[in-house]
Amino acid sequence: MTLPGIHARAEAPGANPWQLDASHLEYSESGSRMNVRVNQASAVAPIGDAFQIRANGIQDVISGASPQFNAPGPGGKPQQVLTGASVRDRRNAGDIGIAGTFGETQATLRQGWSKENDYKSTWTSLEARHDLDRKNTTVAAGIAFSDDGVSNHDTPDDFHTRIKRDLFVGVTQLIDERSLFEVSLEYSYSNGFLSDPYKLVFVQSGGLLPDSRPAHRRQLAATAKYVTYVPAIDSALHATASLSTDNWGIDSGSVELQWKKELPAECLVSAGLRYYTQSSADFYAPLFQDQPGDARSSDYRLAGFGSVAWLAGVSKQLTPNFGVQLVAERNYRRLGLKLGGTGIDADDYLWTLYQVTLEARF
Amino acid sequence: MTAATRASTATTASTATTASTAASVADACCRALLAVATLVLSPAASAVGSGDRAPACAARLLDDGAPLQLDDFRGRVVYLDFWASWCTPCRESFPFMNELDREFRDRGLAIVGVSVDKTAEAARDFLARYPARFALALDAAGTCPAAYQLAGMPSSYLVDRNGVVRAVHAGFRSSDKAEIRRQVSEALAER
Amino acid sequence: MQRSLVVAFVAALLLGGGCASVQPWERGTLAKPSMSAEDPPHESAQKLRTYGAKEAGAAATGVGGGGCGCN
Repeated sequence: MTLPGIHARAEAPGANPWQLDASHLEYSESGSRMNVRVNQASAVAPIGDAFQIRANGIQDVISGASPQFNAPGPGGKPQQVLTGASVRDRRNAGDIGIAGTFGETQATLRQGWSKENDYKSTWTSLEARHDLDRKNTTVAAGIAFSDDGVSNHDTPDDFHTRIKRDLFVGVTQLIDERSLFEVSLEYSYSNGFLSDPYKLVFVQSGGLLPDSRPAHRRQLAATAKYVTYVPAIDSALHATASLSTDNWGIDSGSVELQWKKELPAECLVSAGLRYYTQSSADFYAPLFQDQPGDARSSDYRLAGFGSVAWLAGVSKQLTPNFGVQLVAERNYRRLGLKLGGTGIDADDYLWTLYQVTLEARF
Repeated sequence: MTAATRASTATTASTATTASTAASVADACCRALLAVATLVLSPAASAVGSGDRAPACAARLLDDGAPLQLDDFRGRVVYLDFWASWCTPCRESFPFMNELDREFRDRGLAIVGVSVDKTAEAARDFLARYPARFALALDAAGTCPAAYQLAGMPSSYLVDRNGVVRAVHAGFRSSDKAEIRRQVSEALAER
Repeated sequence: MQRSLVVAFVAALLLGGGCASVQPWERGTLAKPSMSAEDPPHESAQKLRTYGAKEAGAAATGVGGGGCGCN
């Protein structure tokens, strides 16, 4: 999972340096699974012409059931066993940062915190961008550190620690007056308690064992993006492709295509499709026949699977100072689209997301 | 042809096609790697700066389409500003230039805003929301900004009464206002 | 796979490099909102969190750049 610290979009101070954004998001899964409501607010305040203070606050309210382990059902076919549907969690997270512009360089330093009943995290990130060749080329690099504590509902104060380090580099290059290309690379290293404290694995020869993952994880991801304006349809087309690999045996790839078009009355509409696929972790199995080793998991997110999703959005500038954005996404997770490894179709589900954001600029 | 030869020929053919495409793309495009390698902002070779004669500007006045003649302004101080409907800092620079016009017009300041928009319609859309008290021109072909070799958008050139550039500003920030006022006053004070 | 990704990244860098430099006054199309290479911050933050929670792969994104290139 990518640290929230990286990828903070640094908007250069313009005519309206004061910014206030608020958004509400509803996420739901098929079956009687998870529902999440997220409220987020962020603010940017200028300090002179060269600096900005940025602050973010997020609150998640999570409810519903989630898969705990798989058990053999009729005919030995693995079925998901869900936790009780009465789970209700609240997570609060926030971060504060300072951004500065120094000639053609912009840098942002952020410090964040996250707290819920059974999880706490503090993270720090530093990200810088530099423009070259009269802003035809932008190079960026970032680094982030995160220290987390993971416990569980039964023993909430008994924290296991884990750390994560992220590094990213990227380049954006203009190709001509209507297209650009972006390439980036991200490396992350995690160490500590990386297992899911609520998940179990079912062993055929008897018993349920806790989910247990290797203490180290190294991931490398590469993304390429191409954006171009097509005069024939008066629209912009965005194509993004990503590949990633890690030392757990999980390889993944995704391709996303988006179409965006401005409409009269300062509206912008967008629609897109995304395809994603991954292979299962080396230590993943839906069910274990014999006693598994130290590393074992039946977590549906570490299985081999793929997904197709559609995305749509509309945004409108209501007044010179206020704008609104709506986005929707529906993602169909399917075993059949897996890149490799194993999985079960009982893990297939779909998720839907709606988000509305209000933006104020002064 | 044996299966092995066919397979290797096919591979060679596809490799050759890929290679020639890659070569032409790489031929035409290597600016990113050069820029990153040198990490230097290469200065525009013929950028107009302080002390240079202000080049002629082949723009057309927005009102009547008549050619803009900078020579007509000889004897006055000219604040030549390059703007566009898509330039966000211009939303701040326009009210500022209106202020300059109010303050300094009768002391001899002539502000000329040259839009680099591709259509007059786009320029007028911006002006509907950010009106201007000063003279406006349009250069959709981009010959005027090319003559001045703008380093950024927006860009302004302060030209003295003799047609010599005295100050250049690339970009517009609130903190530029005081300095621009001072430079305008100084240029106007000269006879 | 790791080595291939790095090689692919460098190759993409070389091949993706721009041709003739785009002049500051020619950025009108790039300045269009539809041409912004990055999603609005709340949208991109939630997208990352959702994919991060539901998928095991990682994605590197968010360089910035493009746009009007003003200031």
